[in-house]
Amino acid sequence: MSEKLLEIKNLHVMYHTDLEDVYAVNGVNLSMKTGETLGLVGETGAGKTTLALSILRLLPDRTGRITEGEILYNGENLLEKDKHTMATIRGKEISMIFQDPMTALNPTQTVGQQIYEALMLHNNANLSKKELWERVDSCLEMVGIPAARRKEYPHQFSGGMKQRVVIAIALCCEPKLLLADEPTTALDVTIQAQVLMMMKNLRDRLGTSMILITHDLGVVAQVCDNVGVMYAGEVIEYGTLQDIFKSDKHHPYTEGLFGSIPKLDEETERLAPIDGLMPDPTQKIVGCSFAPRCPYAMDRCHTEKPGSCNDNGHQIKCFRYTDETAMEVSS
Amino acid sequence: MWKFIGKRILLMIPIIIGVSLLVFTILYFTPGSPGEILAGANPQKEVVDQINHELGFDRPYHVRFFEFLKGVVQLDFGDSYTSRQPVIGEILSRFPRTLTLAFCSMIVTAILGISIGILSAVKQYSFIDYASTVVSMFFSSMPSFWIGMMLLLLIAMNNPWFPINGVKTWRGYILPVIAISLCNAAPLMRLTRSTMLETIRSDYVRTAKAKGALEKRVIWKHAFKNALLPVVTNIGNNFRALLGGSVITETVFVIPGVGSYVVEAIRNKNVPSVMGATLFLSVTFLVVILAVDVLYAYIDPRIKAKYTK
Amino acid sequence: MKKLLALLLVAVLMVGLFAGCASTDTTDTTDTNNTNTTDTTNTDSKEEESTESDSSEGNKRDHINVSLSSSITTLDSMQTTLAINHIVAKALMDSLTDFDENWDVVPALAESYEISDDGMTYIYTLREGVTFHSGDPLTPDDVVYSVERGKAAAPLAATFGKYCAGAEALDDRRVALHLTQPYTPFATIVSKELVIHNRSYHDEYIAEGHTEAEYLMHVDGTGPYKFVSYEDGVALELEANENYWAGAPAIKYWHGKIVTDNNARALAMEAGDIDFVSTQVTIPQSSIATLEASDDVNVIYTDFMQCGSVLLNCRLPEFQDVRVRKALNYAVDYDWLIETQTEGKGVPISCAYITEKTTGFSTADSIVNYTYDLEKAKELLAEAGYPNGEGFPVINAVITEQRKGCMEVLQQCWAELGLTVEINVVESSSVWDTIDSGNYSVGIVFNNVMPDTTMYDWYFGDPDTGALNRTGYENPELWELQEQAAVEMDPDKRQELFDQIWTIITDECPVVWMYQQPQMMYAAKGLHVSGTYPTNSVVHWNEFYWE
Repeated sequence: MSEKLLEIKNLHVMYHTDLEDVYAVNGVNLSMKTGETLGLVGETGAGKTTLALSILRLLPDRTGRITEGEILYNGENLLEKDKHTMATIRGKEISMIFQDPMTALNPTQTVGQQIYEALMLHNNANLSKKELWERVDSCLEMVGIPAARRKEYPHQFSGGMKQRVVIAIALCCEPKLLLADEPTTALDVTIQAQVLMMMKNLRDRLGTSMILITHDLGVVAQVCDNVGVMYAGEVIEYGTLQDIFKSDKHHPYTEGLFGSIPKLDEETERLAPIDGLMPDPTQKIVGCSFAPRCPYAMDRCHTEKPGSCNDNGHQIKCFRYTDETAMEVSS
Repeated sequence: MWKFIGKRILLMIPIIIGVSLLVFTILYFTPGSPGEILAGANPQKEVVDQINHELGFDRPYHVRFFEFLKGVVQLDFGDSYTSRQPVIGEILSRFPRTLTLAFCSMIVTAILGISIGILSAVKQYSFIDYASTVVSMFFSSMPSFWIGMMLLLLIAMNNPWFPINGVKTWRGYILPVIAISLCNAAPLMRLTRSTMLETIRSDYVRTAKAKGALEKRVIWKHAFKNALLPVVTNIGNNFRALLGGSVITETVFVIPGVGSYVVEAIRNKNVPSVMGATLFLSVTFLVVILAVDVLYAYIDPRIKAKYTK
Repeated sequence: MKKLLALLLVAVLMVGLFAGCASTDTTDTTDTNNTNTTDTTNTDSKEEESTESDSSEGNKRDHINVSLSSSITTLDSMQTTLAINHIVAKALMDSLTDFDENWDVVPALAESYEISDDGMTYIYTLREGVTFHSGDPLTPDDVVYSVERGKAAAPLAATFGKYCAGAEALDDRRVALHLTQPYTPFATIVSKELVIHNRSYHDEYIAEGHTEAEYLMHVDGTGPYKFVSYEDGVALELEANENYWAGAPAIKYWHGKIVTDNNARALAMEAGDIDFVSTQVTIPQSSIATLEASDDVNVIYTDFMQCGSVLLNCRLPEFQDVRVRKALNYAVDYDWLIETQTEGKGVPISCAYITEKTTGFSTADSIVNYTYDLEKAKELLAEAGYPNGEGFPVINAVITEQRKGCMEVLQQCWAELGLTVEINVVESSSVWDTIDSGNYSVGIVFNNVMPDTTMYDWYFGDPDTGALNRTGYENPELWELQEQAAVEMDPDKRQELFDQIWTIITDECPVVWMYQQPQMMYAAKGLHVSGTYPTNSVVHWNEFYWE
C-alpha cells in the first residue's frame, strides 16, 4: 500500500440545472500523504469548495454530478461506496468544517448535543452514554470552551466560539483527514489568529491530515506544508510551501496573485489586480484556461491545453515550462 | 417562563372584556328583538313588548352589560331567551362534540399534512411531489361543505354503516373529520413542504450530513425540527378555528355543536346565548393561543430565551 | 419530539374515551318480527339500516323517526307560539276537544259539552277512566288548573286568555268554562290552544325543589306518547302510552331527531334515516323533486293551505283610494306568480284568505275574485288620477329574504302600470317592528289558515277592540259585522254575516291576494299518516301506523 492517504485522479465535477450546466472541476489530480497539510488556494469560483464536497460526496443531490475520475482514500475509491459506508466515513475518517460558523450549527440543539451526536454516530467502541458525555466535555475543553457551556444553544455563543464548536464537532472522533473550507474567513483577524493557532495545535496533537481551503495566502504560509493553486476548476500549480513562495518559476496566475497583494514597504497608489475575469464556467474551455488573461499568452495557449511540468515535485501547468500538451484521458 | 404565562393570563382579562363589549354593542344596535321571534308568525305588538320586557331586553345598555359582567364572575351567563335554560349548561353540553371534532380533525390533518409535506420535500420533483401538489391544490380550492356533501352522497347514502347525520355514535364523526381534514391538510402540506425545502438546504443540515448522519436522521432531527415553527402555527390556528365551531360542517352533518348554537342564537337575537358563547369561545381561543406560544418555546430555544428575559 | 408525540397519543386516547362515553348507545336488540317487513316497498337498504343504525330500532314497525327543525324549548304548548313546540306537545298532551278531518270540533278528553243560552258558559263533561302518564286520574280540578295556567300565560296564549274568564269544577265529572264575552268560535279555541295539565303532579314537582322552567320540560299529560328523554339539540325520545283513552298508538317508539338544516333533512329523508317530516319545515325546492321521484318517500299534499298576500299600508294617501288597490290586484299575473314561486303547485285564492274547510268560507256571488286583467288595472289607476303611474310615489316593500322572489314578480307586474317598487330586505327578527311603525308601503305575509275568524283581526281589525290593524284600513261597517259574527250562534245567520264580511273585504281589498299553497308532508313509504290538524302543522300522532 502506498503512503498516500488521499489520491484524486482526473476528477471532473459539474452542476446540472434546467437552465445550464456548470463545469466546476475540470480534471484535478492531487495526492496527499498522512500527516500532511495541503493548502488549496484560489479565487472565488475556482472550484475549491466543490472539490472538497466531492471528496465527502456532499454535493447537492439533484444537481451535482461527478462525471469522471476517482477519489482514492487509503487506496479505496470513495465514488464507488454506498450511502451507509460513506456515512461511516464522514465524521469518523474524513471530517469537514464549513465557511460560515453562524449558520453551521443547528439552532434548536445545544452544542453539547451536537457534539454528542457526532460521537454517538461513530460509537464503535460502544461507550456508555456517560462516557460519551465525558468525551463531549473533553472536546469542548480541547477547543477552549468551558465544559459547563455544553447546555447552551448556538445563539448564545459569539462567532469565534461557534467556529470552535464546529471544529470540536469535526475533530471529536479524531478523523484522519480534515477538510477545512475557509474556516476563518468569516471571523475577524484577531480571532482568526486564535482559531488558526488552535487548529495547528490540534493537528499536531492528533496527527490529523488537513486540506485547508483558503484565498488568503497569509494563512497558507502559517499552516500548510504543500500548496495547490486552483483556477477555473484545475490545479494549475502545485508544490511545497518553499516552491510556491520562494521559487522563481510560477504559473502566470500565481504571479498575478502574489503581485496583487499590497506590500507594506512600498508606496503605491493603486492595487494591482489581474486583468480580466475568470472564464464562464458554463462553457467548456478550449486551450489553457488562463490564456485570455495571461500576459505571456502565445497562440498555442488558446488552442491546446498545457500539460504539467514537474520540477522536483513543483508542478506547473504552463507552456512556458513544458512543451507537452495535457493528455485528455477520456473515460 | 411562568412569569410569561402569568402575564399572558392577566392580559386575557381586558381582552375578554373588550370583546364582550364589542359584541354586546353590535347586538344592541342591530334591529330586531327576541320578542319578535318568540311571539310567533304574526306577532302583535303588545305580545312582543311583553316578551321583551319579561326577558329584560328593554332595559338600558349599561344595566344589561353590567349585569352580564357580574354574572360572568360567578360563571353564570344568564338564561337563553328561547329555551329559558342556563346558557352555560347549553354551551357545555355542546362543547364536547365540537372539541372532539376539532381535536380529531387536528390530529388527522397534522398526520396527513406533515407526512405528505415531508415526503414531497425530500423527494422533490418526483412523481409523488407533483401528484401531491395537484391533489392539495384541488382540496385547497374546494369548499369544505362541498367535500362534506360529496362524502355524504357518495359514501353515507349507499352505506348504512355511516350515519347520514348526527353524532350519536363515534361513527358519526368519521366523515366530518375526513371532510375537515382534507380541506385543512392541503395548505398544511404545502407549508410543510416549503419550510422543509428551505431547511433541507440550510448549512446545519449539511453539517449534520458531514458528521455522518443518515438521511432519515437528518430529515427528522435536523430539518423537520427547524421547520416545525410555522407548521405548529398553522396547526394551532386551525385548531383554534375549529373550536370556534366549524359551522358549515356542523350544518351539513347535523352535529349540534357550539358553532351552530351561536349562529342560531344570533339569528334569534338570543343575546345571553350569544354573549355567553362569545365569552366561552374567547377564553378558549386565548388559551389555545397561549398554549401554542408556550409550545414555540419548547421547539425553538431562541424564543424561549426571549420569553424568559 | 418524542415527548410531544407521547403527549399527543395520550390526549387522543383520552378524547377517544370521553367521546365514547358521550354517545347514548344502548345495546343491540335482536330482530324478532322482521320477517313481516321484507318485500313490499320497504327497500332492503332500510332493513339493513334498521339492524345496524341506532340500536333501539330493532323492529321497524315499532319505531318512527320524526324530523324536528330546531330544539324544543317547552312541552307546554300554552307557553309558546313556536310551532315546533306545538307539534311535539300534541303527542304528549290533549285538550278537552279536538278537530276531525273536516276541521270540525269533536270530543276528546271531554265526552260532550253544552253551551249556555247567553253563550257565556261552556260546560264540559269529562270522559271516564282517563289517566295521566303518571297514573293519576283526570279530574275537573286539573281542567281548572290548566285554565289558570292558560290565563297566566298571556300574552302567549293570547286568544284563549282574552276570551276565557276562568273555570270551575261543577262535580266530579263536569267543569264549566266562563267567557269574558260571547264568542262563537270559543270551542275552536279550546280545541286549538288549551292543554290539560295534572295539578297534583305539578305541585309535587315544584315541592321537590324544581323550578317552573324545569317543569316546562317535564309535564304530565294524557297524550298518546310519554316523555322518555330529551337531549338538547340532538333528539327527543317518546314512548307509547299504553293506556291512552283513544287506544294505544300503533307505533311504540317515537324518535324526534333534531335536524336544523333543510338540505340535511332532505338527505336524511332520502337515506331513510327520517320517516316523517311535517308541514312546518321547509325542504328546499331542489330536493322536493328528488323526493317525489324517490320510491321510498311519499310527498303528501295536505289541505292545509298557506295563503300569501300583500299588505297595503292604507294609511298612506296613495292607498286610500280603492281604485288604486283594485288596480294593484288586477295587475298581478297570478299564473306567472304561481308558476315561478310554487313550481305550479299553488292555486289561486277564491275567497280572501280561507279555504273550504275553514269556518266562514263563503261562496257568495258577491265576493270579488281578482284575475289578471292589465287593461282594467290601467283604467282604474288612470281614474284614480295616476295615468300610467305618473305621480305615484315609490312603493317601499319591506320583506324578509324568503319572500324576495314573490316581491320581484310583483315588482315587474306593477312596473307594467308604470309603478316603481323598491325592495327592502330585512331580518325576520325585525320585520314586524318595521311594519308596525308604519314605515312601509307594502309587506308580504303568509298565513297558515286558521279555523276561526280572528285572523283578519291582525290586518284590519278595530283597534278599539284590541285588534291589530297592520294595514291601517278602517271600516266601521266591517267592524260592526265582525263583532256580530263573533257572537252569532246560529250557523246560517253566521254564514250570511261572513258572506257580507268577505264581500266587503274582497271589494275593498286592503290587501292583494297572491295564491294559496298546499303544505306538504313527507312520509316514508309504508307509513300511514294522519290528516293535518288545522293549525300549526300539528298531526294526530296516535293515528300513525306502518302498513
